[in-house]
Amino acid sequence: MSNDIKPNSGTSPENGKEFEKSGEVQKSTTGQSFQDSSSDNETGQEKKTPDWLVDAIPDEKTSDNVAEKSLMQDFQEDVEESADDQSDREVEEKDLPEPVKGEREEDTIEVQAGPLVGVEGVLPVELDPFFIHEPVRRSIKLQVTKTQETQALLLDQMIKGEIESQPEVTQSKAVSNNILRIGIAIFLLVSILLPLSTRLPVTVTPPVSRDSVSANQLIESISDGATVLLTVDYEPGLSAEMDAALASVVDRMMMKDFYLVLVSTVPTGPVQAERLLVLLNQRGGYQYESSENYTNLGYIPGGPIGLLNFAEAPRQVMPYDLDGNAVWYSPPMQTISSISDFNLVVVATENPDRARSWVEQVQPKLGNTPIIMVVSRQAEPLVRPYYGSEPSQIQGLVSGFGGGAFYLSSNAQAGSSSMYWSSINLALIAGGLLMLIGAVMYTGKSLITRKPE
Amino acid sequence: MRQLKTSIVVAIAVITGIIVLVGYFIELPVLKNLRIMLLHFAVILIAVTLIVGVVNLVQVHWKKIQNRQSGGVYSLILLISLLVTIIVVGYFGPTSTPSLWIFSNIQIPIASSLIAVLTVVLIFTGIRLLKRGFNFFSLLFMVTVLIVILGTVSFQGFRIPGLRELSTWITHVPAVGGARGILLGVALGTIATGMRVLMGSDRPYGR
Repeated sequence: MSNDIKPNSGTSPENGKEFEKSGEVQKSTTGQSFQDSSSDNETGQEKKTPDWLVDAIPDEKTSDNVAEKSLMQDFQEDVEESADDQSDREVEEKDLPEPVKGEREEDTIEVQAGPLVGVEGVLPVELDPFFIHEPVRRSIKLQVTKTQETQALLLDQMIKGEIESQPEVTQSKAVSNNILRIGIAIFLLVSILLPLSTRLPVTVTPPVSRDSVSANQLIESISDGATVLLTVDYEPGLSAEMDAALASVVDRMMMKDFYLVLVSTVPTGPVQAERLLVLLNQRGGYQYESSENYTNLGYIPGGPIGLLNFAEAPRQVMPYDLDGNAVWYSPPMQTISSISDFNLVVVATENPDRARSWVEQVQPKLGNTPIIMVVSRQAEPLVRPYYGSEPSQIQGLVSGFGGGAFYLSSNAQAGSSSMYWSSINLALIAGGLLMLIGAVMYTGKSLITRKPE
Repeated sequence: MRQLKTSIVVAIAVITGIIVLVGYFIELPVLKNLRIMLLHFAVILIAVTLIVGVVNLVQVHWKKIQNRQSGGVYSLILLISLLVTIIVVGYFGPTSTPSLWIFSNIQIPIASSLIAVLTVVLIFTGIRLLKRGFNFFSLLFMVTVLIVILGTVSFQGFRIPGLRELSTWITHVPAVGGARGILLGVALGTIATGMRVLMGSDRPYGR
């Protein structure tokens, strides 16, 4: 794009507006030509000018000269001013932020000819004729496949369903719903409390759990006094189930006088672990004391990253116990320099993601050290693939009340798992029956009220 | 300048990722030490975010109390509880009897109550499931739930033949199959995300 702009310096121009671009006719922004003949213009102007305006027009020769001179003077003044401002502008540019500075540099155009020679930052007045063209026509019809259309319709229906105002729940309906909720709660409470209070043998021993058998065999195969890494990775909300299941395993380990090293990736985990040991001490009559029989290393922050870090260098990551003692130099811990030096790793969690983190980050570093998982019933399906794989990534699995109760019964023991087993069974039956009644009732109702199509 | 900054950040992320990743496959003492150091940095950073979270929690609830917003009373209870717990655990130690008392008698009952309420709501929803939409899938869902629940229990003198086996088959075959599918999906997604971060095309740490 050429930026050479100069006033018509040939034969004296008839007015100051007349410009000519070198080699081509100067155009205004609308593309109109401003070039016209002076004589034609002169006669034409006289012809077109109404009589009442003829006197008002000044003498052309003098007025044109004056206009040209004043225009040139203005241009020269502008050039001088812009040259003076140049240094100031440079200072301003330094202060500008990077992106703006770049943009200004891009826009700066130096005029090569004409009265604006040397002036920077001038926008070109002409438009390149090549840029003037009809806008590209784009289709406003959306190009979608059949699948996309179906999905869009589905989404639309879903959103419509959300936007549409739901019929207001009448007071009687709300009351009946509340009565139903309270009824369910009472029914469940009675089912849970009845076996606990009466000690009625309503249920038989839990079904044989092959996974619990493996865990049991593994623990029994380890010699007494072994060092075990015990992870208490569950939230307080599910502690009833997890405490019962884990207590079955830990109780057996305490009987075998295992030295327990406690860690957790849950902030409340270290306190959970302490609480569990206190409960087992009371229930089983053990004398497990901190430092003597177990060490609580506390909370490992960072989720999977923290676990990997711990698996890489346990001594460096957790140098002190919860009481601030340097524990790695005490006799049972002296032999542990890496995670594979533990005789067994037991992970108790209700969260499948945490179980996955242990399998992914820690298990590959364990070498020949086996790993057992104590999980809640809800997490079991997501943890089972690790147990069922060949070779198995975890060597034992104890799940929920059932697993814990079977573990106890296989060792001819009784504990909280077996105590709650009757309650959980009766509550499950109560819940199942309630749902069955609801299903039969509403199925019958919908079949009766269904209109023939 | 901005481009330079971005390039440096991307380079740090990519190099860190590669060092940690290579450490999984190659056992070199230098690499291992470097890897442990980088993991230390990450763990410290995450631990600091926990503190930042607590400070933010205090700020939000303090503002609520100051502005006398609705529910400000609960904010006050929260702040008092937080302060009391910090003082007790800080003074007596995390494994002391008062700390364990707070945990056993306040935190566990509250959290367990929420789970208990969830149980009631789930049974309530199960009862009304077929009221809302009676179709093949809702019926299949209900039948599966009942088989698994009733197949799990071991009731004295009462046993439906084949129910336990069917329940075990459901939990060990279709459920585990689905779980494996989820785990494989998670693994593939993690690999894809990791590759994108390592190649610098995905920048979760900033633009």
